[in-house]
Amino acid sequence: MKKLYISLIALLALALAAVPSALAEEKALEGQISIGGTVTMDDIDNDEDGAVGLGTEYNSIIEKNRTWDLSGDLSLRNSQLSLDAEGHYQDGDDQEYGAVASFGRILNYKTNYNRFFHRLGHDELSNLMAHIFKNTDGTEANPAKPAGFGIGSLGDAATVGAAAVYHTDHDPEAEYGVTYSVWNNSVKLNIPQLPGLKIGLDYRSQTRKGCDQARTMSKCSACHIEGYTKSIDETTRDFMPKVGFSFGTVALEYSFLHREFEEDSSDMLNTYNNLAAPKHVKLFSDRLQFDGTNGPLPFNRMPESTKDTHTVKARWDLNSHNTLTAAFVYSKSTNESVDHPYNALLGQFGEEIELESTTLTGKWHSKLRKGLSLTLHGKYQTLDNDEPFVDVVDRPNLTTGAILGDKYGVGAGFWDFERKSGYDLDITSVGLDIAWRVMHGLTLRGGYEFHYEDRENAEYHHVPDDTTAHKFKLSADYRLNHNLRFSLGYKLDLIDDAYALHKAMCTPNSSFGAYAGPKTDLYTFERSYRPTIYEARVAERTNQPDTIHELSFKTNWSPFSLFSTNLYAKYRYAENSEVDGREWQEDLFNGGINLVFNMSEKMVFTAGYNYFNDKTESVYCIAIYDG
Amino acid sequence: MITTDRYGSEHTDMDYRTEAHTIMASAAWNPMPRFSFTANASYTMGRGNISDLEFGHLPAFFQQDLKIWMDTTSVNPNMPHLYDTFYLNDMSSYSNLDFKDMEIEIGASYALTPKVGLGLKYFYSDVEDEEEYVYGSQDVTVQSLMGFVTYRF
Repeated sequence: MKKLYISLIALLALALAAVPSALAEEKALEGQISIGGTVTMDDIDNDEDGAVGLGTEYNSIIEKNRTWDLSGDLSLRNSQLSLDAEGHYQDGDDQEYGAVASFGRILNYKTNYNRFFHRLGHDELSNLMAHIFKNTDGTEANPAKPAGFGIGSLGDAATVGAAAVYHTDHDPEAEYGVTYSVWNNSVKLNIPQLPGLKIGLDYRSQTRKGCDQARTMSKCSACHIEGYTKSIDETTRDFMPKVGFSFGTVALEYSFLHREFEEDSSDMLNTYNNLAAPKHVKLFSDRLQFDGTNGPLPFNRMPESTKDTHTVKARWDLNSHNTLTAAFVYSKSTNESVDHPYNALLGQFGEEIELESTTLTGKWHSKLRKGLSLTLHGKYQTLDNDEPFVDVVDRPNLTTGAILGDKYGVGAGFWDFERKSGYDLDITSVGLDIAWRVMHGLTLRGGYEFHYEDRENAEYHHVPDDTTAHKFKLSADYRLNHNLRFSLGYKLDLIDDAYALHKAMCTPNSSFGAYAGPKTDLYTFERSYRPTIYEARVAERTNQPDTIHELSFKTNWSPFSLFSTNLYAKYRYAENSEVDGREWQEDLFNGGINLVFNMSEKMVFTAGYNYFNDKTESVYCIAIYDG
Repeated sequence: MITTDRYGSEHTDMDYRTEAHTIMASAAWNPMPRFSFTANASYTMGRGNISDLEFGHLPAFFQQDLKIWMDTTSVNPNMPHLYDTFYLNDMSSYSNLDFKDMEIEIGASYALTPKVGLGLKYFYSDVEDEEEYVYGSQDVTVQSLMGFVTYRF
């Protein structure tokens, strides 16, 4: 990327070098350059190390005290070339460039580059400290603490029990941030001999480089949360050739997008706590997928992927009042990082995972008569994801050497399964929009859309099989005169079976029970967790509404030429009464006012105020079990 | 010693509210052809909190289960029992949000000649974080001064 900066700066320098001669050519070249510097007078002091406050989250220069500030723009016009370029360099992590060039209107090139720094937070993990107490009355066994268990700030070792949540930050002084950059390029070729033909190539490169915090947690011992520093190095490249052809009233365009996501971030490894020992080793060591006895294991992995997309667009102007447009999109996304050799955390899928998507859209826009237009639109999308095989590890018991499947007479591989994707669904929507200019200054708009989602694997994810939505909208624009204008809008969404999780929680009725079945193995799933925890979860919850009302209002008023104002407000009420327990609700209001005073030709003053209020009402339910 | 598994559920309302007031103002002034002045200021006050989180104590039903109702008064008088949903109520303040953010930008430029100009910009940013979250205090104050020379062609 350094070559890019040098090239862009060299381009700017060459252009500036041509200034004198360009001036002689009747101002064929115009522009300006600005050279400056920034001094940061206050810094984030030591007490505020790592702060990512609102004012500094995207500020790259606050810790560098002195930085250059270089900017410029130029415009070049002659019979063969038209060029507009601009650039701004503030810091290595804060740069922006752009250019548009046309060579004889045959070859058009557009590019822009943006780079900025995003400061990320460092979770101090300090809230992750809690524990049970050692038994004090001697009536219960006091299990030994697992290997790696840390007492530390948890408290007195004599009172801290084995069940605990605690943390280890392996890099507590680290400051995290990622430099984001994106470079867009678009080349279009117009062939004079074939005026209807357009050939183009788009290229986009996006990178994220820096450091972030990676966290992982041991389980089936104490809940030990560990934080590490992870280097981030991600690159996404898009290549998109396209060709378009128009003849008469018909225009067609085909494009092919190939996207590559490369990941060269550091490989994170963690050695987890051992299973709580020694009492639980015999009981649970064959039920775990991994623990500290496996040694260092990978975590926080980001898979590399590719995506190929074919897009066909068509437009047909039937006549001056009617236009048809349609599009077909087919894409295939591939996870390239799942075919590694067997490892307890890598899976054994043996092949890549693919997600296919096919989309058809169509729209008919018609001017029925003067002041009245109708738009009909529809969309169908189907998503199909692979069903990878998940090989659940049949881990030998560390005491007996037997696997759990043998203990229950079901053999190895009993718990293996094919992952049924929640992305396998069909989405259909059709609708219409009407715009009617009732009279001079008054326009009414209305619309309706039917939306339907059909989920193929709903039963595996405990979500509704399908969701149906009816969406209505109505608005009016009224211009009383040149100085006063109103807009009113109302939207209503009615949704059947909004996306929700069945059996999300216990019935919120404070009912309690005691297990009355046969006394078998205390840790047998069928005796304890299934009836008392999982099967007790019968209530459905969601944060998706089944009814939405949204009102909006806006007015612009300019009583005299030196003053204008606009007042705006939006209120949204959403609820879902189909869930169990108390219904879910949301009240959202956003409104404000803007004032503009043109005191004189030499003085402008603006002021504004915005108020935002969002309240959600939900219910919180926890299961209680004798643990 | 009771060995029978005991189970059930407790529930409570959990309302969450976020609120923000933002005031902004700007001015542009050209007192003379060669001199221009701009100023921008904004002030945001944001709050967020959970309310109505009111778990009761575990019912007496669980007193028969020693593993839940273990008496731990001797090690922590504030938590007399091993598990009690009442202890969860303190988390209502855990994710509280309360901050004030002030941003000021003042700039001035002066044209020495039709082609050459001088400029100066001052930035001030101050965030006061009244409720720390997992990232620690977000308090920060930054001031910076930028000067530049512009050449037009």
